[in-house]
Amino acid sequence: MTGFLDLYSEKDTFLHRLDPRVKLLAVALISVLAFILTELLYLVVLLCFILLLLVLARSSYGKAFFALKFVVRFMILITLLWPLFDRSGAPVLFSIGPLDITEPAVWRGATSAVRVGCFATLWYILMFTTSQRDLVRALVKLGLRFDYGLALAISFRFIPTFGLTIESIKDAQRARALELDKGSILRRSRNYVSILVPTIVYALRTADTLALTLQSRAYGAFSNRTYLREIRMRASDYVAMTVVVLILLLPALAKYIYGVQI
Amino acid sequence: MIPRPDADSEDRVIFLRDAKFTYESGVEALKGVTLVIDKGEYLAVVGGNGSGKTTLAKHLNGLLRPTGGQVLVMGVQASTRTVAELARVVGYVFQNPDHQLFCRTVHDEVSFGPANIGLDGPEVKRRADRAIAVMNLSDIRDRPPLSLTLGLRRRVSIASVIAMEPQVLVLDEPTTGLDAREADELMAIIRRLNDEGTTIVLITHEMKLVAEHANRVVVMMDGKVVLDSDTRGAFSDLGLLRRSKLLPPPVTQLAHRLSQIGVSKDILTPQELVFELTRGDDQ
Amino acid sequence: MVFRSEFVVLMPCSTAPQVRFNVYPCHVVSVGVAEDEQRDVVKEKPRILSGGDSKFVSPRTVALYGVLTALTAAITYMTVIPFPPTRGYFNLGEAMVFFSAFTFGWRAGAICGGVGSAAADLLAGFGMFAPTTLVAKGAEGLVAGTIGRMKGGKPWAYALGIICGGACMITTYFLSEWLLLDFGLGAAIAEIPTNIAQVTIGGAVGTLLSHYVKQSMPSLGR
Repeated sequence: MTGFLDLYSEKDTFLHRLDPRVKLLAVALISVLAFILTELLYLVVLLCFILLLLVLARSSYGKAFFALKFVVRFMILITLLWPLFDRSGAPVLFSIGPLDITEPAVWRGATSAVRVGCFATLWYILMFTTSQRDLVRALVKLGLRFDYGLALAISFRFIPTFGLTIESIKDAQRARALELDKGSILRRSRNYVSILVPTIVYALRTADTLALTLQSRAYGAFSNRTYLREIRMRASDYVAMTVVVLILLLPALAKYIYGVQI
Repeated sequence: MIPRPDADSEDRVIFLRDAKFTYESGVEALKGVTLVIDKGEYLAVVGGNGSGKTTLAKHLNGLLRPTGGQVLVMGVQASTRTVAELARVVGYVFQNPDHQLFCRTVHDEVSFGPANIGLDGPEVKRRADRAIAVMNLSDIRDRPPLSLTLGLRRRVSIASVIAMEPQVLVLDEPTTGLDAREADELMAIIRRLNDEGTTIVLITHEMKLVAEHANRVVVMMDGKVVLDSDTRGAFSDLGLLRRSKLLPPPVTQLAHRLSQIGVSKDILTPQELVFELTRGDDQ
Repeated sequence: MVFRSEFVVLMPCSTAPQVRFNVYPCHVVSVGVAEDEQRDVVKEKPRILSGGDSKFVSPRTVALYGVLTALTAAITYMTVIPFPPTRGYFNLGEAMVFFSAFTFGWRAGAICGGVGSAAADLLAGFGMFAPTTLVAKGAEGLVAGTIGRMKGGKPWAYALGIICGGACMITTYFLSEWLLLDFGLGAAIAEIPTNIAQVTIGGAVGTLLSHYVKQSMPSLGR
């Protein structure tokens, strides 16, 4: 297990209350903004703003730490790897064998790292503040067909179940003297077949039962179906949407119309 | 009193001393369990859901490691051995046979365990054939196990464990989902294994099975052993069983109701009750 | 015949005599099964009536896609074999993409591979990769499913499917990481060896799984 099966936690902040469609839009637009910014300073400002949002999302320390650990590890990796493949510019800071590490390359690496930090953190905020249910509802509202939305909802519902099944099957096969963490990566993968086959068979049986359940609950009986919980845009959602659009629009105007270096 | 581990006692196959286990989520599943299992016993571990009986069983073959205390298997610290090594001594049959079955034929399935513990070809075949014979599966040895009925799948999964010829066989709720006849057949086979010398640890909350088969009962409640006695003794205290969320078989309940007319309370089977009542007539 | 407000219990004839008298007053219907009739559970698939003139896909398909997607995500998430570079994990999720594609066709491969892997990214906290993953693994499943099932699934078709599908996946990740996510050439290249290993092993295991599962559940695979 590498993390939390559900990053979402039930809280009452404006980020949690925001319409999920607005949040998806915000992730997309702010990502575009991070993409068009090229100056390190402005990117750092943007990252600070995003980190502020992360604080406002009031996620638990454990989860925030988990997210930051990943983001920071990633940023360091990019900063280190960048100059190795970008040897343009001067002055040369130092050389490792045939490799020249130049100052502009280091700056460009740092810029790129901060940008990636922005991307990664945005998604964490989305997942911290949006339940899987709301995510599916938003996608259906955005035009995903209901039946595919239902399949998506079913899959989110079953991910933890199958996770537990896999654990249990792993134990059952280990009790038959199967050794998973021994041998080459090829050997280990081969050993996983004895776990994956029962898992898949179990899952396909589940699918059979599920198909019957869907039918007995009148799935597809009426094509103009109604929903118990509808998501609706409220005034605050429109305000947030406007703010998000402006956040992208103003710097974009400054850059492409007025030629400001940002 | 906590018994001391006794290295020279050959009869002692499993010894738990004050074993504690806490899951990562913080749930304390075992709160200090001390238990000695001797060779050839037919032991039933009973308790309601969440009483810790499955957690206890998973310690016997190393699937879980105690977070406190000790587990000795054949006099050796279980924590120093891998699950694969312990699997030669302690076989564990999971509740859901579908969690184990994946091969193309019953024979392949039963050979999987013996092959894993590094036996050579003829020995694997010998053991697989024996296990198939013991579980009465000879007729279907070339059928795909996943297409069999639940009763047969359960038997295949037991065969696939006993093919490793373990000295101790742990069975987790072996009769769930079986009808009466399938269950009776299965329990008769397990009885036979026990007669041949295999130590049986039966995990269940089905008290009827316990009354008819086990010769020792360990009642678990809340991560602790609240009662460890022979089967007859276990059924004399209905209050304790009820607190452990267990229901004694109807015949025992009836005997308790009849105790005011002199019927003894430790009745386990209908035959015993009949005997008890007719004996009463003679007096 | 069942009457109004009746409590009916269906049980096999071998259990019926033991029905507990103290539950509820109920009408026990004992269902007999011929003495030594061997029931083949797998062949006896539940019969799903067609969805009528509904514009939705059949419930069978919804259930199958939902379950396969969940399975892909769960396996991606659970079978992590630690391996250092960029995304930091080698997993067998790839095997599920190929399994879905080879067993149920390109549509299942594309949807379950793409959505399932993207969902795993979201849940594990690699949300930044989710859009790329959706495209990369979706394309992989689509291509592998189309090529791998040509000529009724000959071994060379599987191999070609794995190679072409894997190539789509690796290229998509590389381009996206290099140009869109702007990791720089270095980090984007560092990912390629892991991905190649993942496709090779995932392809082999996926083919094996498809083979095994089709054999143990002969009714699958249409």
